[in-house]
Amino acid sequence: MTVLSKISKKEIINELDNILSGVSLDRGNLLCVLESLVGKFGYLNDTMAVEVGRRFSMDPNEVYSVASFYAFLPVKKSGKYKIRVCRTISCKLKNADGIVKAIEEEIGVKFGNTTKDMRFTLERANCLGMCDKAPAMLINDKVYTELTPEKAKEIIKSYKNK
Amino acid sequence: MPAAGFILEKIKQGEALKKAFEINRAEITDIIKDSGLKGRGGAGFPTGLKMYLCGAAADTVKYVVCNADEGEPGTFKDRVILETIPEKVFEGMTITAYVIGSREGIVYLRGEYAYLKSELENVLKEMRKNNMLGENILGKGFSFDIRIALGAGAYVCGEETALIESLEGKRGEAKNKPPFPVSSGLFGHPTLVSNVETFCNIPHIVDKGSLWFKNMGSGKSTGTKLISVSGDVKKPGVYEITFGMKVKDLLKLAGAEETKAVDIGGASGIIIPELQFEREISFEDIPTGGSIIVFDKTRKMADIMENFMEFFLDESCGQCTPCREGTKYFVDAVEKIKNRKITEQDLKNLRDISDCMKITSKCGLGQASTNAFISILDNFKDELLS
Ligand SMILES: Cc1cc2nc3c(=O)[nH]c(=O)nc-3n(C[C@H](O)[C@H](O)[C@H](O)COP(=O)(O)O)c2cc1C
Ligand code: SF4
Ligand code: FES
Repeated sequence: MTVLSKISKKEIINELDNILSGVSLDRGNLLCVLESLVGKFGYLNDTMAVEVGRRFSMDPNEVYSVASFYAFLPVKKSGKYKIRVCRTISCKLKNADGIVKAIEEEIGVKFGNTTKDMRFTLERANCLGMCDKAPAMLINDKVYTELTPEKAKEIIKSYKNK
Repeated sequence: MPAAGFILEKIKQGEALKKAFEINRAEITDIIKDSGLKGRGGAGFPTGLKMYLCGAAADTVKYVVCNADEGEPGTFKDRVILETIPEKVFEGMTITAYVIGSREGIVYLRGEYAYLKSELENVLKEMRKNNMLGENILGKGFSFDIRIALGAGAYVCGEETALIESLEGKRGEAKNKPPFPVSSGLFGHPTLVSNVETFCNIPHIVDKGSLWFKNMGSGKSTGTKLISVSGDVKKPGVYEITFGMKVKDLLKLAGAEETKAVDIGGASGIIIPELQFEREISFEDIPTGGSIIVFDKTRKMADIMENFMEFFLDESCGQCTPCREGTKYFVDAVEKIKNRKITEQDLKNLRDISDCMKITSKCGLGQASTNAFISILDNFKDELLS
């Protein structure tokens, strides 16, 4: 995955061909296809909704409607790395707020925002199922636990050149 | 309290499945029924009865679905199961499929656990190689396979009808029941949805019999329960307890000190004060899908309320008005409490609204969303009003 500010239609079609070479066009596979697109491009846009709709014989609006339901299928521009810090109670008790503050400092944007270079989006998440190792966060699919503000900063740094 | 401990132990793979193939299907259903096994996902529906109902449904296509959405705050025991003994879950699903006559199984894995997916797929591959999955399993003429479907960050998708919608490639919105999934589930076919831990119990019961199982636990709560303990404790983690264990004994195990309150059942559960630590964890007293969160004396109850109500406001799917508007109303109420602006009349109104949400919300999310708030109100009212 590369940091992309603009995604061309050609890229989308190529990627979709790629994804669909291993997946049948059953409606039950829609989420899996959208998840793969997000994995590649970081978010879903109108062209993707149209192209996916064309393949699945669905109205693009319906593709959008499905995607917009799910927190992990962003339908607006979003960074290459999604940092999701758990803010549910067990993490909150273990200084989740301090982790958020440290990350905000490190990437220079506040909760809910994306860095200008489209590298990071900082979001809050609900319980990640890591409460025994609180506080926890996800960066895309990867889990980080038992965070301290310093540790969180180090982790973010390691993503700056990836 | 004898150490129970079998859920997370490795078993000799395929033994229970071989045994199941020797017994007829109705007999296995009877063994599970007789064991008293109840669903470990929270609702506690008798698993044997679910098997019976789904088995009796007339259809050539049926599905076995493992609910690995584990979204209830404070719950992580299914993660630990999937990290340590996924093959047992798959064997439980296979036995279930054999009993009800299904050829396809699906694990609905929450998006937050995506990092587990490739390892789980490796285990499935290995099982196929050993002829424990796929065509003509162990040469007994029964075919069944399992795939992993990934969720995408929605708590409500743990509710079984919403989960099925999501598996159909739709918005994960809960549906009215009936029809229940056992008669009309995935793509309209009979579908047995059970929790990860529930499936883990099945190979053991088939192998050791229902009497062995019934001997553990208390009253109508047979067997053991995995409990995820987090919060203000020295030893957070997963504990396997036999039903009937007192809250205070579990607190001791986990190294809790200066405990003020305990949440049992996550955001949908209840919060009890020290006076009630004698109570028991069981379907008869305090049931739980497996979450226990401990709060010490430095914690403020209003903060806990706020965190849980924000959780529900965030996760409500929004299709029914009482849940969508009610959760917002409760978030505002916590704000009022924190600003010392709440009145007795407000509290009375909140109880009425909570009752209304319980009756009129379509699914368990809306119905249970005020449990924690109300139990804090019941048990810590002085603190809230001081
Ligand atoms: C809002 C909501 C979320 C739920 N989340 C889960 C979950 O994450 N895992 C689970 O096993 N059951 C969950 N359930 C319960 C399921 O609807 C269903 O009862 C359960 O999966 C059945 O399995 P069992 O009989 O083995 O418990 C949830 C229910 C509701 C109302
Ligand atoms: S109760 Fe809430 S979460 Fe459940 S269906 Fe209604 S709005 Fe959706
Ligand atoms: S509360 Fe943060 S992982 Fe569970």
